[in-house]
Amino acid sequence: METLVCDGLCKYYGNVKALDRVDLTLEEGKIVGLLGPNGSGKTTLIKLASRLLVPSGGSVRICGETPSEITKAMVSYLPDRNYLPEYMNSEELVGMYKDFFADFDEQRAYQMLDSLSIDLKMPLRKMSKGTKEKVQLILTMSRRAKLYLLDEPIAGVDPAARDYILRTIISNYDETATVLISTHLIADVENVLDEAVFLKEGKIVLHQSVDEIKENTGKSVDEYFREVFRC
Amino acid sequence: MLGKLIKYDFRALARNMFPLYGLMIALTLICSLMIRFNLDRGFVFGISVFAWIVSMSSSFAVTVILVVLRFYNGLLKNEGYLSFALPVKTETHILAKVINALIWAVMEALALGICVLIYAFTVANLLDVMEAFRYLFTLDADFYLSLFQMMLLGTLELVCSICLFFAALSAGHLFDRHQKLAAGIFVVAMYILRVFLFPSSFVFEYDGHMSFLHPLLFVIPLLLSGIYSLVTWFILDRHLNLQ
Repeated sequence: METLVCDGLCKYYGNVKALDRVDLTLEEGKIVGLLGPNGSGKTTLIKLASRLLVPSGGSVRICGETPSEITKAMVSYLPDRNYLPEYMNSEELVGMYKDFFADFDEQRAYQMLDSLSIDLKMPLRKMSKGTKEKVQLILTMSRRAKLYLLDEPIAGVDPAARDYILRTIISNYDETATVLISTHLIADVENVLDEAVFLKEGKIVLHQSVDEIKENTGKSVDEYFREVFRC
Repeated sequence: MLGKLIKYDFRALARNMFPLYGLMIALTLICSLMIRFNLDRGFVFGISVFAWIVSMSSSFAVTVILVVLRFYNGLLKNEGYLSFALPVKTETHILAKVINALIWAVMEALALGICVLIYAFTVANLLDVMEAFRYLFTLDADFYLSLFQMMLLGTLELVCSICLFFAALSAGHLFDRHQKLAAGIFVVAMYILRVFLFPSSFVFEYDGHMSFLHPLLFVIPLLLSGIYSLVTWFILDRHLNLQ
């Protein structure tokens, strides 16, 4: 089944083309890397799917639905910034996610918070940047969503935390769900990806399985990415 | 979902509002006691009275500012990424914010009422206070009708002002840069437009029964609240620009 379908999707910021007629289809049960240099349109594509932006042209559909409050119930979105209220603590945030998302697994969230020894009573504003990002990821991955949109989930954390985050993603997503991970740290995520999408100046220049890339080019995804995006 | 949104918005605002109202009530108590025990001279009393007057007179403006900031931070800044990821319709978000504004207007009125009672019972003679209450019960229905109308009008005007701020902030957000400046310009422009389109001079020409305010006084803020909310909805739903 198709989880995400973009059809001629365009987004302009004034005269700047952030996305230019993007056609993309993602099937269920895949972990897909959305790879590209800064400014290539990765975040814009994810925001359009999350309905934080409105397309300038074309369409995006999630499980056959145009982005709306219906798709938001199916999409678990991790933005590329601290988006949670800083005055709240982890326990309150778990309660809030449980209140709003029917697919939120409270027990799973508490297990992950416990395994990372995160103080449930500590407000976010007192946490380190890395700990905040872990809390955000835990909340995102504790949902049993159909589509996970993870925007730069490992950009701001140390290598040890990156491993934890990637393990969390792999071990928590449902087999029928799709995970779209946007990043430019390809070497770190390469091993968990089923497919890779290369985005360059708002256009998709490649969409293949990781195995195909390796077979066709004889290179790792990271090596091939460096070749394609060489400055 | 509306109830849940109101709950979390209420909690977010309560962090700032309750300490503010607590301070206002505490200052009232301190000043009233100082007057009661003839300590109403000197620097400390002067400072206390000054802080008391400032807190009382600015509390309404502070309430409006905090409600408007809650809208801005909750929907148009980083927290907006969470708000708009919730499976909630845009109109529900807006309605929750307006209802919260009303709730806090009531809380504000309650806090002011408590301050008045503290002052009355601390400073004035208890018999005088009882007499004043007794007098209230002797007033005729016209007085209470007028009072009700004034309260209703005040509530409608508050909602209208809040909706205007929401619309202006949303319109300002359409710009890629200087969004707050643009929102400020929209606020001023929208107020000027209101005065131009709906001058209040007709009120004085009204020859109806004195106990009834001019019906347009109620219709105009209702109509404008609807228009401002529609503008806010249109921008947030069709032109959301969270960058």
